[in-house]
Amino acid sequence: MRYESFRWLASVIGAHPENKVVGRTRLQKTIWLLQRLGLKTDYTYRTHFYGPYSEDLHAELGLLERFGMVSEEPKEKRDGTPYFIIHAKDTEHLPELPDKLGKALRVISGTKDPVVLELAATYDAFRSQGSDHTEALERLRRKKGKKCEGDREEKALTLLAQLGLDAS
Amino acid sequence: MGGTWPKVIRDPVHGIVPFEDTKRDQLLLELINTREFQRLRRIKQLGMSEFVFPGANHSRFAHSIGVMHTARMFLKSLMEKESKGLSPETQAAILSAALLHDLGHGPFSHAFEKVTGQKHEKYTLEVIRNPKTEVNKRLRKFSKDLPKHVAAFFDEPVDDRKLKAAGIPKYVVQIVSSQLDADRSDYLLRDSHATGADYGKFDLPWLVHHLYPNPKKDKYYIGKKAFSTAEQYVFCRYHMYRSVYFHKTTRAAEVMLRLLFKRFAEVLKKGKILDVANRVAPGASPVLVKAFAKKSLTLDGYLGLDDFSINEFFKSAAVGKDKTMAALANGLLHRRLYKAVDVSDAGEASQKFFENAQEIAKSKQSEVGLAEDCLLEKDSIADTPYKPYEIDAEKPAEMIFVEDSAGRVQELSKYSKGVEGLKDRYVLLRYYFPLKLRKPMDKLASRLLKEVKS
Repeated sequence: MRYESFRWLASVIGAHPENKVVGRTRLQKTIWLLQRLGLKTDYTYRTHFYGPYSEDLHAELGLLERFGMVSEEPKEKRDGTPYFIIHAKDTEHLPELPDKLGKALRVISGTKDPVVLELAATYDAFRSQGSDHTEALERLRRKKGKKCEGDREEKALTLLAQLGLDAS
Repeated sequence: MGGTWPKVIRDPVHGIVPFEDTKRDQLLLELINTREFQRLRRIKQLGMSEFVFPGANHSRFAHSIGVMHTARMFLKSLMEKESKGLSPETQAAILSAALLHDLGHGPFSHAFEKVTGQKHEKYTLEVIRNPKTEVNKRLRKFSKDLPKHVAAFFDEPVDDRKLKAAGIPKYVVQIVSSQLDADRSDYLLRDSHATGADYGKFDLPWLVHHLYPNPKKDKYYIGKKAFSTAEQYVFCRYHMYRSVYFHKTTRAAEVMLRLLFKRFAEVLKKGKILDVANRVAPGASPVLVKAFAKKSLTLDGYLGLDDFSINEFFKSAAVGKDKTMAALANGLLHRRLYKAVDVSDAGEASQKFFENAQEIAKSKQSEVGLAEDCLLEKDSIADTPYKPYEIDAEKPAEMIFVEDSAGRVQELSKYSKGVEGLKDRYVLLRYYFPLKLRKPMDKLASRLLKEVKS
């Protein structure tokens, strides 16, 4: 059976531990990586503020909320910065992710540091635009600056390699 | 530039737009006369809205002049209340940025961005920075660093160091880009005027008169006497999106354009691109064909494309050999538009609709005579009328600030319950299909929606 993108989006949210995703940015990057691995969504992404971002995905998240398939819980960080936890509500009627994508999702959701995920998705977006490894890294460092410091950049590349995406 | 001064442009929204005999205004007028800016005469501001609102055929050219004029009003009002003042160079940078903000728009902007895979902002920056363009040359004639300073307004996020180096206080950047800026102010009024949809109108002179700078906080705010106007401005935006920009029939034309573009790109993959193009869109511009084949375009090539190129493409595709492209192009030329079913409130039933609608489309494919993937198209759109600050938004929004009755400056939604309610995103979900499928689709929708109601 063919499903619309937003149903696959709901499936990905529902397949996270405790059926929830912490932060819209995390969800954006997760879908980017899964779409690269063959998830049957058709979101148009642009490289933006925090790396690949899809306005279509943002719209369809609203649709899922309207249909009662997910809820967004507003939260605040200690410094008062708002963010959202996205909960999948009814996962019973959703399409099941293929094994390969289920495994990939476990690797992605196991990446606790959201900056590592942001770096991985951004580097991969540059690769998808035709940059080779050296150029993609240069662009990543230019765009993300201090976020690349420490071992985050290496962790991001390891994550991509684990997913079977180009990282060298 | 000779002749008598001041020079004036007459505008249906702002009345008289004057240019004084100063270096700054001479620059603005000469920028308007550059070939890159004149191209905006050939790009419509509202793309497909004309199918619903016959008067909505105004250009980005008129809008851009309106934005510059509005930015000048903002600037004048702020300068009257700010003792420090701004140098002529800084003022020139702000007003040039306002004037040039839409330079990189392609024809039927958003659909075409999907073809090229490039945002229009990229081309705007390229025109400003490329030393071969007339815009760049004219900016450099004013001062050698002006292209750099104008480009600084379009950085995402804005780079504080660049602004400091250019002597541009951060709060004035909001004149060019924020939730209360010259661009939105002009397009709401202009689109409202052109469509005849009066709910886009608000009291701009009153709002501008009550603008106050707050340079220490990097922002400007609206004085208490214009609080209601600030509220009205946000409501106008909400109504214009809901009723004009997201109009069901306008979106039908946009969906068809999207399908036509997608189909052309796919068909071009099936052979040598110019041969295929000659068969399915005889006489189509080679630059346009190149864009659809995802070949990179030179800046000159890109700037050669405008609404006329696309309209000519419609005509050539309409007589071409690909039946699907011909039907879509004819539909767009003669307003034979797709029909829609709105399932925004259907909840789970929307999946049932989608499944059954696909079957209907498949069974009627030979009767309709179009490619399978052009028989049923989803259109989901969303808008947040007043954007709250969010760390993980596409880009953090610049909020609107107002003075309350006690003289404190607060973010607008904290002071207005109406605006607070507009911080929620709303979404529309519609399915579009050719006219020949209307009967069975309407029947299906009415059956499923009845179930939802019960």
